[in-house]
Amino acid sequence: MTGRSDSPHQGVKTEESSGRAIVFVIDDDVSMRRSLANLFRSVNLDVAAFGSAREMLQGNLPEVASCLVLDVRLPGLSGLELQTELAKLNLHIPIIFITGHGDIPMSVKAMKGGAVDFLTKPFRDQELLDAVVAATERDRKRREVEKTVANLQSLFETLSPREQAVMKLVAAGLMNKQVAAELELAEMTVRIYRGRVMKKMGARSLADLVRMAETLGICANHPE
Amino acid sequence: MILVFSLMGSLIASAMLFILPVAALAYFFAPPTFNLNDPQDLPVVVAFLVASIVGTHLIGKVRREREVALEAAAGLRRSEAELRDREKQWREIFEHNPVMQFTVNATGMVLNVNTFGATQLGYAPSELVGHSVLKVFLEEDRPFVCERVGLCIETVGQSHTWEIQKIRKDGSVLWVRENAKAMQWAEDKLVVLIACEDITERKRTETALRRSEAHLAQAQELSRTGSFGWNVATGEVHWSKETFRIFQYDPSTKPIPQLVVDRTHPEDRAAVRETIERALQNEEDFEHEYRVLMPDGSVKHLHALARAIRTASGDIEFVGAVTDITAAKQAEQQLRRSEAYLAEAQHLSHTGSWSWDVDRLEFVYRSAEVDHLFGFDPEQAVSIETIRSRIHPDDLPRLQEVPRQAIKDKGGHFEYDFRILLPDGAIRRIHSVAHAVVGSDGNVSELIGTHMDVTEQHAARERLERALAALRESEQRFRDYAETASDWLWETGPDHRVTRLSEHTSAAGILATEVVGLLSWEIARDVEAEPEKWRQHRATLDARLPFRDFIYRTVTQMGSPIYVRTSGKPFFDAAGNFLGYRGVSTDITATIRADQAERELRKAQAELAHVTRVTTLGELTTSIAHEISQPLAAIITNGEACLGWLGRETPDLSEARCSVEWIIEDGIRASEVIRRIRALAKKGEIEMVPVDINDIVKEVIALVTRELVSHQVSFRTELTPALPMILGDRVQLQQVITNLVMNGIEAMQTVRDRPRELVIRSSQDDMGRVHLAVTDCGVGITEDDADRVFNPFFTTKSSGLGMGLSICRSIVEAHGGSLSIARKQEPGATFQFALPLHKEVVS
Repeated sequence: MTGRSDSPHQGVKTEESSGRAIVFVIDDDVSMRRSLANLFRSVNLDVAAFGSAREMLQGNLPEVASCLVLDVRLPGLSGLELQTELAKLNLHIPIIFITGHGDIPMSVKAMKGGAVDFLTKPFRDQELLDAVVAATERDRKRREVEKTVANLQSLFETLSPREQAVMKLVAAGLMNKQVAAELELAEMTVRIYRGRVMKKMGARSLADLVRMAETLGICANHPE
Repeated sequence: MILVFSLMGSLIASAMLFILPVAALAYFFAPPTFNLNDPQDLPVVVAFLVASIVGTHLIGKVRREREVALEAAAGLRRSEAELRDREKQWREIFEHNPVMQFTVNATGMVLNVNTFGATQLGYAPSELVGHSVLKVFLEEDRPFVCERVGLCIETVGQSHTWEIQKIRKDGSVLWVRENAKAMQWAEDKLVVLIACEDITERKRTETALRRSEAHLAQAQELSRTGSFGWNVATGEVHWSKETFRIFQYDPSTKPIPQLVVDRTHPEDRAAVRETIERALQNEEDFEHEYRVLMPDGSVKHLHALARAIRTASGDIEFVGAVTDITAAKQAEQQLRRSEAYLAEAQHLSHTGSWSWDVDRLEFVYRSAEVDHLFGFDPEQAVSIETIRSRIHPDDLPRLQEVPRQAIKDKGGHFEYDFRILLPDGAIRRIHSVAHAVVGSDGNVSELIGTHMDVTEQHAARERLERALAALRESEQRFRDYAETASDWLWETGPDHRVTRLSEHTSAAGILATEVVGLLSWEIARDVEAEPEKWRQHRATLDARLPFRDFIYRTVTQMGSPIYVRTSGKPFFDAAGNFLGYRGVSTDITATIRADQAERELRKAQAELAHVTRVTTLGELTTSIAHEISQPLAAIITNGEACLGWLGRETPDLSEARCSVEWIIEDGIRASEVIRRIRALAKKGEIEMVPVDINDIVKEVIALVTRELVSHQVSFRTELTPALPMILGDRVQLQQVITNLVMNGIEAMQTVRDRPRELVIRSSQDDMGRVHLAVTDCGVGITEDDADRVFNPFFTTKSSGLGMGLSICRSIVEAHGGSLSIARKQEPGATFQFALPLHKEVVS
């Protein structure tokens, strides 16, 4: 990453490796925007800087670990409004708020909205860098989880309805017999289905399958 | 002459013996036939004489030839005695012949003259003989005489006659008729014989006749009167020279009656013909006037008078005179015209002339205008009573005194005024000038004079007098004004010392007494304090230039300081010599004090403005802090980044350099913000300089942007580019705009249902003034508040002094502008102000 990020219209870099993270900066103040970008680049972070929230929303966000460094007071769409907007769009980018005059209600609102950090000027740069690193790491993890869930989901969707039902009940901790009773199936039949589920889902053990079901959030409530 | 011959030729003495008797006989025969006194016979006598001499000579020659031999020797002695005797006898005759006889030679020298001739000229013969004959002629005639003698010499034997004047010894002149002839004398000499006859008497008669003829012609010419004669029977017509001239015919024309008819004016022809025909018929005298038309188109008036005369032969002849009376006619017309002019002039000038008989007490003459003035009937005689009745009773005694005085003084010149009282009650004022005429008896017989109607002039003079009185009154009024005014007038001499001061100055106690004689810089008390002002003033005075509104300080009589404003201009005499200055001064102490008070007020206002400004800055603290903290934070961050670039395994110097550059930029930015704030916080003197309102707006925006952002206010400018400069204080104008923007932000704080928008517009109006408007879309201003927002201490805010708009207004007004609220339908308010252009830019 060699380009200077002093332009508010700096686009998203596309050449980043999957291991790298990208930091989005939105600040209407040129000096601030420019210095932040400079700082991130100096620690080998990719940067995309924008003068306003709108500018950022106009572009496509990359599918890499990233975070957003955002000034609370922005012309037009404010930092908090952007947070809401992103949530609506189901974009779970971690946000680090920066404010010149940090007031408690705003911080609370921001944190409630899912902000990972809230820095009040003047802050030490290391603080920011730490926050950025933490946020990107968190995003990376979130992205990994999301990826796992998506895989399991797609595997789960390969199961037949009867198999899905068997899986839900097994993950809920029912014995084969209990499952057969529940589904009014023969115990033998349940055992076959169970074997298929284990195979299709790639679960190595029952515990593994249970964890998968939890991850998918398909732990069916026990009828009792 | 025969004797002369004899004397000249002794050789022919014998012949002479023979011829003398013949000659004598010839002579004695002749006289009875000729009357020598008759001038007409004189040439005959002379001719005869000469002829007989010649004849005698010729006969003598023949005889001498023939008898010379016979008589040669004999009787010579006897002959000689006889000859002498005869000679004497002839000489007697020659000498006393009543004809002047001269013999001259070819050069004109007198060879001989007879006694009669010499005596007639008052000379003795001896005085003439041997002298030039020219001596007895007039100087101017001498060439003529020479020429005549020459002619005689050329034509020997031929006789010539002429008339010429001769001068006597005493200088008197006589006319002579000369008969001359040259003849061969002995030894081939030519002599001229001249016989002269006195014709003076005849000449005189002739001259007189000629003169009287000339006189007549001249008289006719001068009187333009030609004479004519007309014999009707023979048709013979005689015209005098002047008659030809009158009718403009050539004198050589043969005059006939038709010529007159030809010239007669066509309109008069019939009348002329009739007159003449009647005269012919009745054979009577006639007299008529008619016009003639000249070939050049001019018209002449002629008067002809003729008498019918019966000639000896019984014919009727008209003899008469015709006179050119054109001039008279014209003169008559002119006279008539000039009389009309005079009457008109008298009428126009209201001047009547008159002549008064002092004995008969009546007008001898009065012009039409006199009648007009008095209102008399021109046709009627005017009695003394009538005249008196028309004269104003008050003036009558004075008027009667005039002739009395004239009679007493026996002449003299009078001027007097009186009034005419017309029957209708109108009054005419008359100025009369008259003089007395003294009759042959030595007493005054008449008064001649003119009456001039001076009613108008009198009225005019009255008006003038009234105007003068008004003028005097007005002058007095202005004098009163001047003396009661605080101004006083002064005059200085060529040395700039006060020579005169309007009277009231010292009386009013304005100036210390006795400033007369002082120089203005001796009167003033601020010369030391302000030397440059006085140096310039004195330079103006030395240059003799006018000066205006020069202000200096001095003291009153009471010793209290006063300020004097004075203006003056130099004055000069007719020759252009500088005489000093004249001018006016005013006590402007009160004005100066008022100015000082106003300055104090301004100062207070400026201080208040400053306080408000600082207050505003206080309100802006957060924004300002942000404005400063932003670049400062950026500096730190860039510094960290720079360290990061440098701390890499391979330090990235290029990025590090870039980081440092940004650090510098941000540092500058931070100090710029501080500078602006300091300027606003500064409690400085007002500095009026040409400024561009758009620049000021931009500076304000730099300060308030953060404030706008933090209040969620979107902001827009509509600045008209290239506006003319205005004269103003940058900081104060910034304060005004900042204040308006801050007010706008505050007004929109409660707005939730619509975007908060603030617009700053700059423009120029029709009058060339620069306008600035700040529009918000906030809560707006109620009707009631609109009147009070500019009042001090008025505020709608919970915090704040309530001085903001009041200060803004006074700042704008101090800039010669006005601050107001513009109303509009949309929510919010617009505050705007207009500022006049910087004068230098305007001009």
